[in-house]
Amino acid sequence: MNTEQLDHWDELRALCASIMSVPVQDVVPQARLVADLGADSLDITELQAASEDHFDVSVKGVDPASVCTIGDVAVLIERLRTAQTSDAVTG
Amino acid sequence: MTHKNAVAVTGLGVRCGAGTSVGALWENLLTSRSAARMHAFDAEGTVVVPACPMPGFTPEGYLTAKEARRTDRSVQLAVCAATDAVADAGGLHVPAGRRAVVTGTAYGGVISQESGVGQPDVLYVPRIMPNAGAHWLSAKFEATGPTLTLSTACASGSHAVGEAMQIIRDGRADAVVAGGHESPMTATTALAFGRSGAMVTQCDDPARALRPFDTDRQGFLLAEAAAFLVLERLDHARRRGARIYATLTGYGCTSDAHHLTAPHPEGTGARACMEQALADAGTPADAVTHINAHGTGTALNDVAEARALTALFGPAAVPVTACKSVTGHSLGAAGALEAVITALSLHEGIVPPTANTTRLDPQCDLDVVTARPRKLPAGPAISNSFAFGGHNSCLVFDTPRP
Repeated sequence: MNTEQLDHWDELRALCASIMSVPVQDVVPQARLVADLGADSLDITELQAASEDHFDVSVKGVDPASVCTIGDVAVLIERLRTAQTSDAVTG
Repeated sequence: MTHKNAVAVTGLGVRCGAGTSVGALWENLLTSRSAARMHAFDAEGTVVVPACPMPGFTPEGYLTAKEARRTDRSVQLAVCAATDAVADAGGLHVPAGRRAVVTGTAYGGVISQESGVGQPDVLYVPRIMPNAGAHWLSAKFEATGPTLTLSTACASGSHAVGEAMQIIRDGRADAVVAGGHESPMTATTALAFGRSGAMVTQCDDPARALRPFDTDRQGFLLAEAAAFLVLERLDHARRRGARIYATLTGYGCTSDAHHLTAPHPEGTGARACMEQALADAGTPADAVTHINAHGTGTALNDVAEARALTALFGPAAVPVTACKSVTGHSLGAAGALEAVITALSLHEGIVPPTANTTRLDPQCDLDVVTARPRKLPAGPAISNSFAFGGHNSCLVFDTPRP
């Protein structure tokens, strides 16, 4: 999956830059949240809450260890959005 | 007099409209240059009243962009002022476990509180909690001893300094960063104080609007500010050769138990507080060289405070100055700001004048220092703070003795 072609990429990028107080150009798919962007537990919590608000998904139950990079976040949000849409269709 | 329980004031730092540094504040006090202006409290410009804001303030250089996002403006002011105070003291020369922080604030992070109502983000609670300032200062200065926040409305900053001295006296810390911080610059706060009748809402000249003890006084002006002092064990400060601005020798803490917002009309709680502070310092009333008054320019405070002063010292017996005429009223920061000014007055041997007071209210039988600074003999001075809620705090500072 080409992360940068996802619908929500630009919005996510701006959100991450704001939350982690880093320049938007540093928010690239391979950037690691903690090691590269300096995210701490408050940033991660804020990103979870903001993702739910902005992208209308629920990240409850997601294993935080499965998310390491910005690309992981983008793919996760895409997966959750798709799952919700198909739930809505089947439901 | 030995003052064996005195503590040393070795560092000062401020942020306020009347000065972004201690030096700038002092100059403006000596020349009665007020920070007041007409200030729009909301983006739409529907609440515009005279006030003392800090329009150009940023915490840049003191907080990272991430830290700034996590802090209310009030805490940002605190970090800047306290960092300056610690630098002014030449650092904290005691182990982390012997460092303490005491902050005072009336409101906590009220700007963040109001802007987040109904739509709180993850940082809402740690931004608005009143003790946020104490956290940030403890983290910045690696203070792992007692770190506390007091909230007694307009006496918060003064109580913080007094309780900080008690922490040193009790042997619980050897150096304390103590002070107050407030940024009450919201439309709701301005409207509320305006409706309470205590604040000036209309005037021709904001810089001349706050007139303590004057016949034509109309109330106070809202200000944002932070002020911090570094207090140290006196023997420690002397041993390391620190510059000692003043010693803090006495602390009074009493209550009116009378009315939610009005002081006791005879100023009985205020008088008891000054007496307690003088007794604590071992200082007779006739040794006091000047009073840094609470002096809000409200009808109720000024008469009650004047009665308390006259009852204790005699009519017009001691010079009185009221610095809110220049700084405005920064609520929980005010007592600390005036503690800084009192310590500085002793250090410089000068009392700054009360600005704007030209016709003394005959009900206030005081020797108010007006028009120009007055030279001061060495000796003790009192800084007064009397709050909504009837909480009184008085601090006695003295000239350091060899």
